[in-house]
Amino acid sequence: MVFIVDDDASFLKSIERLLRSAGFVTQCYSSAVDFIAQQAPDRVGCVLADLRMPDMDGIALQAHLARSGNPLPVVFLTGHGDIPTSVEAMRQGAEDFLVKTAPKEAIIAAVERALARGAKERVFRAHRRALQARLNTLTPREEQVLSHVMNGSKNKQIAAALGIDERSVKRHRSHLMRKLEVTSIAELAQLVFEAGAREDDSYRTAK
Amino acid sequence: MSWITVIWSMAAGVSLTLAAVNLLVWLRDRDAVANALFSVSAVAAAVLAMQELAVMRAQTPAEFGAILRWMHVSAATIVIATVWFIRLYLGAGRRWLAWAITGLRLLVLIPNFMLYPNATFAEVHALNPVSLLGETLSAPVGEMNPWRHLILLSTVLLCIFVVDAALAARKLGKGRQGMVLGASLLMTIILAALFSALMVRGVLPSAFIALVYLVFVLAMAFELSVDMIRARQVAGELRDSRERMRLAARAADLGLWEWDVVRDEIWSNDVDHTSAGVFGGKRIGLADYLELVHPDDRDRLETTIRRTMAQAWELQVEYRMIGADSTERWISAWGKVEYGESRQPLRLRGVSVDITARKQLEAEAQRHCSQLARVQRGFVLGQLSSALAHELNQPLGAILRNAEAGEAFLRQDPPNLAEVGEILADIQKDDQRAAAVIQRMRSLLQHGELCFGVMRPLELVQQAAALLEAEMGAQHVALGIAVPADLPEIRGDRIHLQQVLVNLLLNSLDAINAAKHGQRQIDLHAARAGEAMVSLVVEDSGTGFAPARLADLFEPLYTTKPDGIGLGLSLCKTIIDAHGGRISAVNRPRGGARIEVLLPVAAADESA
Repeated sequence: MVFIVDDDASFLKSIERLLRSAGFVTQCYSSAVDFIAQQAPDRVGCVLADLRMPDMDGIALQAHLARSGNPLPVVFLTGHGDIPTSVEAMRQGAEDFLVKTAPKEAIIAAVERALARGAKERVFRAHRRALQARLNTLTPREEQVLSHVMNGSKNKQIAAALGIDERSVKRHRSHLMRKLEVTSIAELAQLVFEAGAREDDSYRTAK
Repeated sequence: MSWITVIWSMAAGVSLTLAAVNLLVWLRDRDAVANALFSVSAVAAAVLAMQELAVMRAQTPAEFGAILRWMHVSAATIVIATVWFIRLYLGAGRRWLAWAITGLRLLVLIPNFMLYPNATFAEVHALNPVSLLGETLSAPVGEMNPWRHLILLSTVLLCIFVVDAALAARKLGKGRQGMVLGASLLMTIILAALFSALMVRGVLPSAFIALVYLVFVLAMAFELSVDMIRARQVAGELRDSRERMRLAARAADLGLWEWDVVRDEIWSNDVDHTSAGVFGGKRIGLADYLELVHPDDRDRLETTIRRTMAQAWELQVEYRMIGADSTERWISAWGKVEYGESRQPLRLRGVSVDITARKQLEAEAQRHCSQLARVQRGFVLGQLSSALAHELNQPLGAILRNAEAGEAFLRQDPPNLAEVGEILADIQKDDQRAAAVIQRMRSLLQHGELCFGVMRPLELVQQAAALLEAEMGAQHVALGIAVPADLPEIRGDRIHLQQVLVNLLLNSLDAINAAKHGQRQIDLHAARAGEAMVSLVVEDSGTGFAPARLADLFEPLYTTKPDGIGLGLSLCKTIIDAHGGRISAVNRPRGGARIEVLLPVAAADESA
């Protein structure tokens, strides 16, 4: 699904026609505010947004999406791509930045790229959510032990730091290894990295 | 012949001579009523001299009384004419005193003719022989008439009047005339009163008025000779002044001219043919002169002249003349109307000068200004290019996408013709939209001289706002427009006035961006400013002007912007000045700038 957001009604209609004729499923919004108001958390696809819009422009829309739980990829369109605005859009992590008169192929390729990235990110997010779900089953003590393990501390050091005996540390370690379905320290490290690397803060909010 | 006859005849002769001279003065210049009055009094004095000669030789008391009665008429004439002569000649003296003396003297004539024998004597009993210069003359012996006191009263008033007039004349800068005439007249009056008293007492045969009056006549003769000397001096000065004027006129290439309205004759100084708007040599009429004027300016010049004369204005007019070599010369003329007593115009006098060179410079400056304005519009276009390109790419992008989609719909099997139909309609609409944007941009690119027309303020404001709509939108600035639709039309060059508004709005936009926070709002409102002006005001919530720089805001190359060229406001002022308007800037008390432009309302006959 391609969500098109543009305040210029005439261009909105024309790009919708083009994408529809190219076989995409589309949905149109005349402003970013409208789009956000109707946003469902399980939306799948990408956003094709005008950069210059009153009230909320394309960049603000992208920032809002990035903060939400469902950061759809955004392709920007603009009437006239001057250097300052393109730099700003790219800095904000725009998938693509195209002028409205760009060749059809470029626009379609950008939309396809965005959709593919969206799908890939969705799989990655699902995987990460599963890992996070496993992490969520840990008790607070197990979590403390985990963070010390990740810092490379030995059992003895962990026991001293937490004020418990070494045997308890070993027990917590084996429990958490079992809960997280890993068999080695290397696997454990990869899991923690995958669960939190992409978006550190989303890991924290999940907790 | 006796000495008495000789002396009295000579006195009469002197009086008559002065009377004749003054009469001539009056005949030449009818405004010189004072001279006519003097003439009257001198003639009366001559008559009185003859009467005195007769009275001194009267044989009977009855004869004496009868002659004296007629002498009162002559004396009254002398006194009244002299009083009014003084008032006119010195321009001083109290009017009520003059009337009182006139009244008293005329009043005395009533008992003079009603009672026997006259106003001086109630009765003349006898004639007393008196010996004078070897001749035996008759002095009266009789009873005095109480009406004589009125004569004494009038004499006292006359003294007061004369002294007062002489003092007042001094303040008017006629001290010498006042002194000479006042002193001589006072002496005349005192001597006349003295001799009159002696006659009444039978000591003298007559009051010797005719002799005494000679003192005054001689004073007047002195005045006349002084006047003549002065006239010679003035004539010399006039010649010098004329010569100086001619030199100055020649040095400055000034044309001097005078139009005698009554005779319809134009005189002008000797400058080359039609240079400086005059022509040497022959005298011509106004119609002939207008023939030399450029046909387009002829009616205007004539109307201006007629209006100037009707309304007593100063003539101030610029017009073109066609020279002998068929070249066009610009003339600036300045003149004043001289009116007659009944306010009818007599002549129009003035100077004129050839201002062709100045006019050419003005046109040159105008051309430069237009070019500069065009350059600045290009600069503005550069500033707006991003917003305008954006605005233009919207419809162009839509057209492209629609065409591509249409192509795809046509290739479908079966082709989606309904969709293609809609697409084509949309393409047309977008094409028109793009054309409108280009039209607006073109106005900024058009070059052109000042081209004055008439327009509605609302239209002007809307067109300027349309040019900036995209830029304002991109920068999230709200533009509030408040222009009453019923404002009178204004006169001006549409493109230049649009440029002024665009410049002001762009300045406001920059000021709002510089302020960084606060309301992002620009207000553009218009109102009537008096009968002749419309005021357009641009206000913003930006940084305002530095108070110290408010004075040289409109100077060229003054800028507060890092990438500005400092032409915007100075050009605004130049354009508004060329429109006969005014532009001013202030800081708003609550922050931000306020610029007011005043533009003249189109004349009633110009409105479309």
